[in-house]
Amino acid sequence: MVQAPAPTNATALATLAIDLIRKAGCSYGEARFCTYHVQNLYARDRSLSNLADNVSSGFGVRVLLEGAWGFAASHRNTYTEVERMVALAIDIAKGSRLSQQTRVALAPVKAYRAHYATPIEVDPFTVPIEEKAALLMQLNDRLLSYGERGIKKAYSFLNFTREEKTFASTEGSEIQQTIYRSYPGFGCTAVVNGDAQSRGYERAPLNLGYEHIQAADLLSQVDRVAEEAIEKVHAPKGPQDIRTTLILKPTNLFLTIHESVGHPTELDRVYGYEANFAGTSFATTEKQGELQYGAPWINFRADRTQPGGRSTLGYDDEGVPAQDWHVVKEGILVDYLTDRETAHRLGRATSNGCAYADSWASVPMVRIPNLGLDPGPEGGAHTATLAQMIADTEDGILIDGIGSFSIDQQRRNFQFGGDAFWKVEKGKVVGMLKDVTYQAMTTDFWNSVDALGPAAEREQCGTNMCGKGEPMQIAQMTHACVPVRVRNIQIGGPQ
Amino acid sequence: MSLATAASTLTKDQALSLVEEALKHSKAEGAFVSISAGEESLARYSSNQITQNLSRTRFTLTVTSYFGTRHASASTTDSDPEAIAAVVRSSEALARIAPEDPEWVPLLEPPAYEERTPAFDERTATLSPLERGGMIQRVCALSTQAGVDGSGTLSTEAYVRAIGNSQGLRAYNRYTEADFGFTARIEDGSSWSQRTAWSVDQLPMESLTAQIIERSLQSRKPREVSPGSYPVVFDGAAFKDLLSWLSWNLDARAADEGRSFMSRTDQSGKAVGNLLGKAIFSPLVHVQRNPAHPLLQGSTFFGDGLPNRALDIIQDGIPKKLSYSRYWAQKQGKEPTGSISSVVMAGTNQPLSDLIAQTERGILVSRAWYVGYVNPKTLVVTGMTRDGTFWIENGKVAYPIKNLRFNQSLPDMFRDVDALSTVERYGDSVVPGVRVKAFNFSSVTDSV
Repeated sequence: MVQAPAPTNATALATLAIDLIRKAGCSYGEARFCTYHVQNLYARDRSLSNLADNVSSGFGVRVLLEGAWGFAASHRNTYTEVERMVALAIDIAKGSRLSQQTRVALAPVKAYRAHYATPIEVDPFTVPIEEKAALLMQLNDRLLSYGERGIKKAYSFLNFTREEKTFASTEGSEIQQTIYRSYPGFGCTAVVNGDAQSRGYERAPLNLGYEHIQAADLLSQVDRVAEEAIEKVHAPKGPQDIRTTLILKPTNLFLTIHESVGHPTELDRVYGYEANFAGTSFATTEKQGELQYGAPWINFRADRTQPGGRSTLGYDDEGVPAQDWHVVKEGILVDYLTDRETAHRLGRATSNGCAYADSWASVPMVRIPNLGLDPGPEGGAHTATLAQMIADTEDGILIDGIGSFSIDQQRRNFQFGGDAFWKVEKGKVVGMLKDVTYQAMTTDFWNSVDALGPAAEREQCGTNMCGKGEPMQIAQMTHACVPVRVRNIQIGGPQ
Repeated sequence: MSLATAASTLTKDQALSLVEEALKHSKAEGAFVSISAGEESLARYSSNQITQNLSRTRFTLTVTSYFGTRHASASTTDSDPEAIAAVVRSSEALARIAPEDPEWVPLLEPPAYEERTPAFDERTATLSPLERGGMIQRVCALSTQAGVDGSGTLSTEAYVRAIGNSQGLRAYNRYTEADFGFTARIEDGSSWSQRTAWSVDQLPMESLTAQIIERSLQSRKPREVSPGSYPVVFDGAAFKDLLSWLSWNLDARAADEGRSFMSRTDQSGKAVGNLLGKAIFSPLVHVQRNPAHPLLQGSTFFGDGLPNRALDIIQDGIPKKLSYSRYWAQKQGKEPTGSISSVVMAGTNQPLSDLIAQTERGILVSRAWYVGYVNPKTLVVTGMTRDGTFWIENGKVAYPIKNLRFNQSLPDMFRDVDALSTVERYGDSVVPGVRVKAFNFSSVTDSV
């Protein structure tokens, strides 16, 4: 396990910031000093077109003055700049106060003095670049070796991050965290008969070290991925304007969970904070404890403690400890995703710790944490393995991976595609399809799930590119889930 | 804002001296240095009060080092000389062990950039938090008076970019941008719009607020219209988000390799070039890259050093230019273009209301939301309408309708453009409102 030391200078600067905020009479204040070390490798065809090692370091201070927010951030980690940023944040709060009608109040949080580091086996930044580059070039070479059969494009990538954060607040917290992230993947495009179709494979973005890369696993998938891209480009188009049964692998389902369960239960959206951009939510607070979000065997659970999860850490960006809780239990909407401000508005005793800022220069806001679909219980009436779901389906479509995705601003009407599609007939997979989309209303969809995979088929899929907020921030999270079967879903539509 | 908290941007001398500092340390066969820095402020409000309010000072220096055809880059946010020396060493250490790049191109010789200074508005660069708060206070007061829930943003940014390479290229730009977005919600009605300018004083904040409040009141009690194909009038703010998808897909390499709607295939289906010169869009469609447009007055160069100058992209509905990277241009014997940004689509003198008045029946779309690919090859996209969708009958806005999902081929949409309105700036684009003869809606939502 690697335990990177937190930068000591950050602690002294954070202490200064908190002292200045207290002296200025703010009711609350926090300082985050962060250093992000990001290494990206991206290979396109036979070119390692991007090999970059980037370090971004700076700090942000946020103050609450007479119930109004102010935030200022700078890349200059100096005492002088801390003084300037605290003063600027207070000036900004005074500007916010001009339109203030209701003072912001925060759910309480205890003071913590703590360290957290992602448990990893191999620090990705110690692995030689040559080894990483050679893996990508080998992946692409092997994909392009299918050129005569139509594979004309190949890509592969490795992304690694080490985030070092020092958080201090006027509540008395002082928290150092070191978070590691790793993410590999590759794909290819077959260009045949005037069409172009892609197929990819990734090991989901997770908070792990280089042990997540698993070169042998990546290389073992290449032939399958290339063959499936070729089969896909020759495959018939999917049906249009029919209703059928869907069997969705976790690699596809995670994004449907993300968009139709994660975003609508972000409490800042529910309260209208995102009305101008990301949108609001149909899952309003009077429905808490009432809304039949899904079938009774559907349970969605948030968990910022699960090993490897992309939003797993010790404390959120307001110093709230990582937790796990049900958002939907036995099909009913029971809770939300909160930061301290929205938790107070809802009347919760504490926040459940979903505040996240994607940079030292960003303001913490409510972001989807790891949010998973619980497996079907062993022996449950609606529990079935993927193979059993297929064997039990007379007519349907099996979908793997993500493709097209879109959902309305209140998160009702969605349409998703996928990366690969297979026709299922009389209990068997009978061949690939292409250009398939499915469209549904969120609660109709989740109430139409009639089979859930068992715990053995649970996979930690997720994303590293969830955009929200103005200015836009990019968050990362895992949606651990199992395969599901969903009945009577609209496929395609008028084109 | 006191002097102690005042923002300041890097001057040309300061920025280029940092570029020189980096190049001085370089021991590579070639090096390219870029600086991106700025002062950005953004206040966000909802329920008629500010909910988030920030300012940030940012700086990034990126070094790309070259040894033969090997190359790699490294960046830092620290402008100290030691940090700059360290980031140069870091990029060199990576570049030495990078694989040979078959798509390598030589460092750019110093190009001739336009003799034009991008717009930099001092007041926009130094707008104080109290001034910003006061401007939003007036918007919130108008919302409160009208009984609507107002939300949105007001942002200002002063941006600096400087580049240099070991071939003698040096360039510096600084420019300002201000943006105002406003959403008014009341009961089951909603309306939105946005404006962008290089000066905060050019933003029509109060008149736009009044217009959006009025439209939100009209949008209440929407009726349901069946999905199908209808004539559609797009507000410019909605159309901009569809034009962006078209311009992002005008890449020469994707077209030449058979992966784009702009690909040309022979009878056997083999990719044999692109559709440049073919009349595939409505003759009303004229699209330029024009960073010198009075409403834009943007940068004179791109991040890789290529000049950012006017380029005719589509004339009379005929695609004239695709974007060529330096590598693909070299391979195909073409001139590299830089990216297709600062997009300007020609409009007319008629307001959007004239387009509505000329429409017997159809749909008015105020905002296009969550637009995404359905098929990247054919450029079929899906998305939702939002924040004010209306039924047009006999040249008038008849009543509000529920929001709709669309699944639409963008090449077909641009083929079917049959009327244009005046232009406005939205983000980095200047576009008109448009009317299209047919646009495909596939489902309805209750979402407001």
